Amino acid sequence: MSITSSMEIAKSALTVNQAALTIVSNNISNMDTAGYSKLKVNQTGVVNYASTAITSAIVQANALSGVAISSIQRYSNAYLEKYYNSENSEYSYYKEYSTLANNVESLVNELKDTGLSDALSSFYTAANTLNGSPNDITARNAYVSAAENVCSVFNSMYGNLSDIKTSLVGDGSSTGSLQSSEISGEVDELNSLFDKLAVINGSIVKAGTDDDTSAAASSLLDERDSILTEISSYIPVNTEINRNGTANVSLGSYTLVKSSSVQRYLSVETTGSSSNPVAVNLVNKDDPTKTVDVTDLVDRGSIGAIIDISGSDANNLTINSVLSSLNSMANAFATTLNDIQTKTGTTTSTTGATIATTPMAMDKDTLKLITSTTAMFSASNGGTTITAENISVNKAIINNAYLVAAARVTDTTATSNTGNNTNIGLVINARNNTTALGGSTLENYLADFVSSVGTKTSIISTTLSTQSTVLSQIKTQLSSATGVNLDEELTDLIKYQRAYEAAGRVFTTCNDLLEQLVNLGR
Amino acid sequence: MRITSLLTSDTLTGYLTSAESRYYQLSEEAASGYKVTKPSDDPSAAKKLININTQLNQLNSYLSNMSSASNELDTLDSTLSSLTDMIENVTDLATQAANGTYSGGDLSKIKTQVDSIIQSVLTTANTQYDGVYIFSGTATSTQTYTTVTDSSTNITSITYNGTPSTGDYERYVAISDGVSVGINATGDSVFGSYSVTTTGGVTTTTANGLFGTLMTLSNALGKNDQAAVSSCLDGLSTALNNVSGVRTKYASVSNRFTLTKNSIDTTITNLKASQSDLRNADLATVLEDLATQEVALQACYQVTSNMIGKTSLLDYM
Repeated sequence: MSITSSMEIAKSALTVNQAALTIVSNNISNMDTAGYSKLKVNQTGVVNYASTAITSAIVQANALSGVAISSIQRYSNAYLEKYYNSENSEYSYYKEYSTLANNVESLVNELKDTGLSDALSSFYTAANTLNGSPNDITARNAYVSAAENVCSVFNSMYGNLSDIKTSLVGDGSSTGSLQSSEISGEVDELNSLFDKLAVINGSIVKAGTDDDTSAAASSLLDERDSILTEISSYIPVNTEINRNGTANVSLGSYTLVKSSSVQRYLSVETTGSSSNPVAVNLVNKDDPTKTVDVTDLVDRGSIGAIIDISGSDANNLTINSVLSSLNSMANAFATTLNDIQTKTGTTTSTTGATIATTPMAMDKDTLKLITSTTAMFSASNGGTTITAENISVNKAIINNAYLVAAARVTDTTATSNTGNNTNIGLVINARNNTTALGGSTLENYLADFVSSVGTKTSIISTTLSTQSTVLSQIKTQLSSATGVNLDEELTDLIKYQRAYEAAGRVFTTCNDLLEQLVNLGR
Repeated sequence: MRITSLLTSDTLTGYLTSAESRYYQLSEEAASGYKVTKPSDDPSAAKKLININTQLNQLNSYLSNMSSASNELDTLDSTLSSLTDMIENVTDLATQAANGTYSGGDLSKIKTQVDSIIQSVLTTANTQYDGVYIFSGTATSTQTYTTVTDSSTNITSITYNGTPSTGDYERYVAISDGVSVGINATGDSVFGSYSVTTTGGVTTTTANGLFGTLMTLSNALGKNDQAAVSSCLDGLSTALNNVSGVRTKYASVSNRFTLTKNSIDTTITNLKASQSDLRNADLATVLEDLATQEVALQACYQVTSNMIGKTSLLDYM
C-alpha cells in the first residue's frame, strides 16, 4: 500500500462525483421536459485483480482501486411506452372523429331556428295561406318564395357537408383536390416522421449503445420514443425495440421502418368513387411501382378517423350517410309536390263513378284557369334526378307565380273557377304522406335522421372521454416511472457534493503525509 | 409511487381543465335556459322536440285557417239573416196584395216596394268578403249575379255567373290532418235565377227559386193579377225554408270549427308542456350546481398554485 495509491483512489472519487453531479445537473435542467427519462449513476467499487497471489491483508488492500461508474441507468419502461402508444392511437382516432362529428352535427342541428324543419314549416304555412286565397298573386308569390327557401336550405346543407368531405379527402376524382386535402397533409407529415426515425435509429447505432448504458445515447432514445408516440397518433403501428436501441415500425405485416432505413412510405390516391373517395397505400421506397392498399389496416389514429368519416360504413357516423339522407328527403319532397302540380288524378262522383281530376294553374293575362304542365321543382344542373344538391324551384314558376296549380277540377272548361283550392289542399295533406320515405312523413324522417347523428356523435364523445382518462392514467404511470423528482435530485446533489468534499479532504491529507515522508530524510 | 414534477403538473392541469369545462357547461345551461342545445346532448329528446315543433306548426296553421274562415262564415250568416228579413218582408207585402180588397193603385205601390226589395236581394247575392264573391262558388272573381233590363227598365234576366252547384263549387278549409271542410253556398241554390227570352215570337220565362218567385210576383203585381200574386206565396215560403236550411248548415260548420279549435288548443297546451319538459333547464337545480362547481373550481385553483413549484427541498436547504 502506498500513499500515492490512496491519492489515486481519492482521485477516482473526485472524478466519479464530478460526473455524478453532471448527471444530477442534467436531470434538474430537464425536470419539466416532456419525454425526458431520468438518468441515475450507478457506482461500483473497483478491485484490481492483476496481482496473482493475494496472500496477505496488505496485498489485498493494494488491490483496491476506488470507485468507478458502472452504468448510467436510464429510467424507462418499455412495456408502458408500448401500451401508451397503442392507447394513443385509439385516443387520437376518437379525438379527430369527435371534432369532425361535432362539425357535421352543427350543420344538421335542427334545434336552432334556421334549419330544414323551420324552412318546411314556413313553406306549409305559406301553403295554408294560399289555400285561403288561391287566386291572389301575393299569396302565390309568398308560396313560391317559401319553396325557394326550402330549396336553398337543402342546397346549403348539402354544399357545406360536401365541402367538409372534400377538404378532408378530396372530391374522389381530381388529384388537385386530393393534394390540398387534410389526409394528404397528414400522410406527408407521417412520411417525414419515418425519415426522422430512420435518422435517429442511425445515430443510435453510431453511438454504439448496448442496453441504454450511454448518457449521450439517452437523449437519442428519448427522441426515438417521442417520434414513435407521434407516429402512433397518425396510424396504429406495431413497434419493436431492437437490442441496440433502434426501433422497427410496422403496419400489420408490412414493415415501414427497419432500423436506419425506411422501407415503405404512405401515399393516398383517389378511387373515383364518392362512397369511399380515398385509398391509402404503402409504397416501397426502393421500387415505387410496388404498392399495396392498406386502407382497411389504418383503422385507428387520426388518419383512420378521417378515412372512416369520409367512408360509407353504416356502423359509423359518415358524411356520406348524411348526404344520402338529405338527397332522399329532397327527392321525396320534390317528387310529391311535382306530382300534385302536374299529374291528373281520379275522384269518385256523387253517383259513384270515377272521374278524372286535372290540376289547373292560372293564365297571368286572362286570370283564367289553364291546365298545369309546369313542374314545381327541377334539378338546377339540368339532371334528371332531383337531389339535395340541385333541388330548385322551376325558373318559369319563379317568374310567374300564376303557374302554381292551386286548383284541381273535374271540368277543365269551367275556367272562371279560380277560387278552387283543392290542389293546394293536396299539398297541405302531403305533409302527412308516408309513402315516399318508406313509412315516415318527411319531417319525421328528418327528426329520426338528426337524432341518429346526435346519438352517434354522443357515443364518440363518450368514448373519447373514457379513452382520455385511460391515456392520462398510463401517462401518470409512465411519468412516475421515468420522470424527475426534484427532491430526489436535490438529495443526490448534496450527497455527491459531500462525497466530493470528503474525497478532497482525503487527497489533502495524503498530500500532507507525502510531504512528511519526503521531509523524513532531511 | 414516485411523484415527478411533470406528473404533478399534468395531473393538476387535467383536473383544472375538467372542473373548468363542467363549470362552463353549467353556465351555458343557466344562461340559455336550455339543457338540450344540440342533438348529441340528448338524441331522443332532440327527435321529440323536432316532431313537436312540426306538430305545433301544423296545429297553428289549422287554427289560423279556421279563424279566417270563421270570419267569412259570420258574414254568410249575417247576410242570410238579412235575406230572411227581406223574404219575410216580401211575404207580408204579397199577403196584403193577395187580399182581394186592394185596388190597382195600391198594388202598384206594393210592386214598387217589391222591386226595391228585389234590388236589395240582388245586392245581397253579390256580397263580397275580402275581395271574394261569397256566393260564386269557386269563381270567386266573377260577380255572382248580373241583370239585363229592357228599354222600359224592366228586368228581363237575373243570371247566376258562378260555379253551378253541380260543379266543383266548394272552397275548402283544412281544419285537421286530412280533413277539409267546405264553407260556401252557391248562389243558384240560395237565390235561383230568372230569364225571359223571345225567339220567333215565342216568349219563354224561366223562373227558378227566390229570384224566380220574386220576379213572378213583381210581374203579377204589375198586371194586377191577384191570383198569380197569391200563388207566389208558396214559392216564398219554400225560399224561406231553403234559406233557413242553408243558414243552419253553415252554422253547424261554425260550431264544428269551435269544437275543433278547442280541441286543438288543448293539444297545443299539452305539446308546449312536453316541449318545456324536454328542453328547458331546471334553473333552480342548475344554479345550485353552478354555485357548487364554482367552489370546487376555486379549490382546484388553490391546490394547483400550492403544489406546483411552491414546496420543495430547496426551501429547507
